[in-house]
Amino acid sequence: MDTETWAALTHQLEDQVHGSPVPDEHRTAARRWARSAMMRIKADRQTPEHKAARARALGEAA
Amino acid sequence: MTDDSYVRLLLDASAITSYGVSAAVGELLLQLEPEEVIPHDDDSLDPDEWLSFGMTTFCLAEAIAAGYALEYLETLRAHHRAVEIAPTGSWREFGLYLKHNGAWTNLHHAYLVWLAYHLDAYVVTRTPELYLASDKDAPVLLLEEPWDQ
Repeated sequence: MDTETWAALTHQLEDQVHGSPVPDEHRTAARRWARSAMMRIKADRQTPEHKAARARALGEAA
Repeated sequence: MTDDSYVRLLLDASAITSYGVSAAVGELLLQLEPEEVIPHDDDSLDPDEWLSFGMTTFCLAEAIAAGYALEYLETLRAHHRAVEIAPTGSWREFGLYLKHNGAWTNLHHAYLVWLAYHLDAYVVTRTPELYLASDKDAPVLLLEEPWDQ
């Protein structure tokens, strides 16, 4: 399923669960949060702390 | 298991059952799309430009057990970046991880965190404390409802 169709179905589903159209401000806030979350993840993956924790977890299992 | 090389997000059962209920899940998954559409067979592609999200078959089953609508689950699974992961394939590595990380009391939570380390991904959840209690460094992302803040 292409992205546009999936997004439309998702919005339709959200409206259905919500019982009325999801307010635009909710979607805008959710989108802003999602962008920020992905950027935080991308940055966190590069930190020495994250790399050390990962190396420790996988290294101990090696 | 399908190709999980680029999985960056792992939805636990609490995140799966929030799909449709919270707009945050759908918006997060839409962020996996690159800004510009690039053909899949482009070898010069930066892996970070083509990310996927994973769901273990256990988490999917847990969502059904919790009463989550199958119809919603099917729509979530229809996302073209969805990867389903059967936990049986990596039992040796997971077993060794458990051997050296004895704090876990819930095997499935432990598996999700090990998988996140293995794939360099993050567990998306409403209940990060369930993971952080056993591994303070566990790569988890709290699923928020930003409009309540």
